[in-house]
Amino acid sequence: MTLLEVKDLSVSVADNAILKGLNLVVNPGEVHAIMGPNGSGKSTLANVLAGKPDYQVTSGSIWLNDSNIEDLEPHERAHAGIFLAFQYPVEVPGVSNMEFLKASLDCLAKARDEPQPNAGAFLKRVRKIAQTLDLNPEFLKRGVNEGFSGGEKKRNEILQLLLLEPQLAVLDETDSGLDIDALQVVAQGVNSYRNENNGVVLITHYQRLLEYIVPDYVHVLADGKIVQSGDKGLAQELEKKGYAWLT
Amino acid sequence: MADLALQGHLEIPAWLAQQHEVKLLDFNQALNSKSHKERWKYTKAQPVLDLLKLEARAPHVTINGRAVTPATTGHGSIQSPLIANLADSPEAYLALCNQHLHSLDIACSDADSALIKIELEHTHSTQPLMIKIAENTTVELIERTSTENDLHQTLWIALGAGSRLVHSRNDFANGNRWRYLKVDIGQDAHYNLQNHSTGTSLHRQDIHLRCTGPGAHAQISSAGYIPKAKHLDQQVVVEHIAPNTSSQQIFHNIAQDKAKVTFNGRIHIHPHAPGTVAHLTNKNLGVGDSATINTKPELEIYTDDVICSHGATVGQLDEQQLFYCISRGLSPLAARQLLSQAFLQQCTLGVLAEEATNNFKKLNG
Repeated sequence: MTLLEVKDLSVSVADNAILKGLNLVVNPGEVHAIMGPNGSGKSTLANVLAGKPDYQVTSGSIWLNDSNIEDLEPHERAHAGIFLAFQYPVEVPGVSNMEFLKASLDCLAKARDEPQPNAGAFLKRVRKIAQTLDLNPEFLKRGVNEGFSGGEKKRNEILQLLLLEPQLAVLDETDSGLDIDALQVVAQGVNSYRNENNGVVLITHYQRLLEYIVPDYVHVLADGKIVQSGDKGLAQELEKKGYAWLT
Repeated sequence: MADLALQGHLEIPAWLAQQHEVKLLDFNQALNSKSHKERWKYTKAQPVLDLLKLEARAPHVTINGRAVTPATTGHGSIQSPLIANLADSPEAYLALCNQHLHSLDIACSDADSALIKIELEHTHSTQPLMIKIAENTTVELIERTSTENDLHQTLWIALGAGSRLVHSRNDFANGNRWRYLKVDIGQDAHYNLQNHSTGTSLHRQDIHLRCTGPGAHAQISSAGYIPKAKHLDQQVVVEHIAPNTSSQQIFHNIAQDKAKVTFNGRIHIHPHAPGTVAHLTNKNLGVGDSATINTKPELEIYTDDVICSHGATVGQLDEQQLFYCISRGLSPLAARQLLSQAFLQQCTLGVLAEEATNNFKKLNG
């Protein structure tokens, strides 16, 4: 069964066509890197997959596990197994990280008709994940992303990814704003998430992240379409030549 | 607006008359003054004057767990600058005229140097209470309202030099309300009000703090949830009278559909009060359609060398925050509830915070 299939997808934002017939197939166990110049539609793709309002699908379709998800609300897509790691994670003052994580887990469990996680086991698990991401446990008591540095926010996104264990992770420029050490920690987190049942759509500007998270496929998105696909060698070529030769 | 007038004969207690020569005419002038009309622009004053006719009982007070009976002033023993200006609140004066005034003198003895805990519960309208806290005394005041009947209540507090008072008050019961609070904060004394409440058909809170001694500090954190078609009107004045005083006020209110919320907060810095640091923030969230929110933060500054800020916002839940929560699996309703709760949580503090949070959750549920 295909994990994700995007068929001839066209998307507009405020009547501006951003995606213009995009096709993408992700099978379980695969990591697909999406690269491309600024304004090519990378973040639009990420937001459309997560169901963000204000993005209008004008044609084409999106399938998750062979089910059409276009009519699903964002929370229903999360229940179905999609997770978006935000390029700019928002701050939510007044809601502690721990409370937010528990609320998310409980909602996912309820939607999937699974038992809600035991509070003790939950705490233990969250602290363990935080430790692997080099996040001080004190962060868990603070408001979601409140006062976090850029790197801490990105690690917090990966913490959520590892805790919620979605089937499809869409990582929108997770490497932006990270120093080398933080980049390695985040990459280790993503690699520990990978298995034969899930998939990753990894949006990035730079080949650097792909040294740590080795993709199965690299796609170049330009002017709303995938104009070139290849293996990790394509990313290295892009690093040398830039995007101009493809657009 | 029609003129307000007190009907019938006004009996001014001797002890009050000794301090202030006030007559019925003075009341009526104060009730119809420009400043009074401004303070009652969004809430009708007459229903509160009517509310004041309700019979009130003596305050129900415990100190460190023991029930105490506050002294009924023999009137004449009160020489407090707290009761200084009729124009500040003619309603409060009226309460003093109509009811017995009770007083509590709180002092820290050698044997009792720890925190003094006062609990004040309103099970009905409460006669005016004046609490005088001696210098260098640390007090926690917990105030609850547990009646659904209509209620009026006035509280006057004088903080001696170097004293500390953390005042937590919750009011989540139904019923019309008029609550008046006036606090004089002496030299180097700290007053911290943690105020949590809900709206009712008529809920008016008048809060008047005065930093009267150098180094005095006033702090207010206030959270309010005003359910559908209910009302909350908060009128707050913080006066900086002495030099080098400070204040910090944060008010967060949520108004549901057709609710009406009014906030009027004024920082008044007197001449000869340099070195004042004063900040005021009022944030309001409208959830649902047709909520009415009036907010007016004001600064009145009559001296140089001060640091002041005031600001107010009226808005709805942040769309980015909503999407973030929903993308993690929370339903739109659960996300709205979580964010609303978080908005109030930022001003829900102190020993009554848990009780307040539970009440907010019930209203928000």
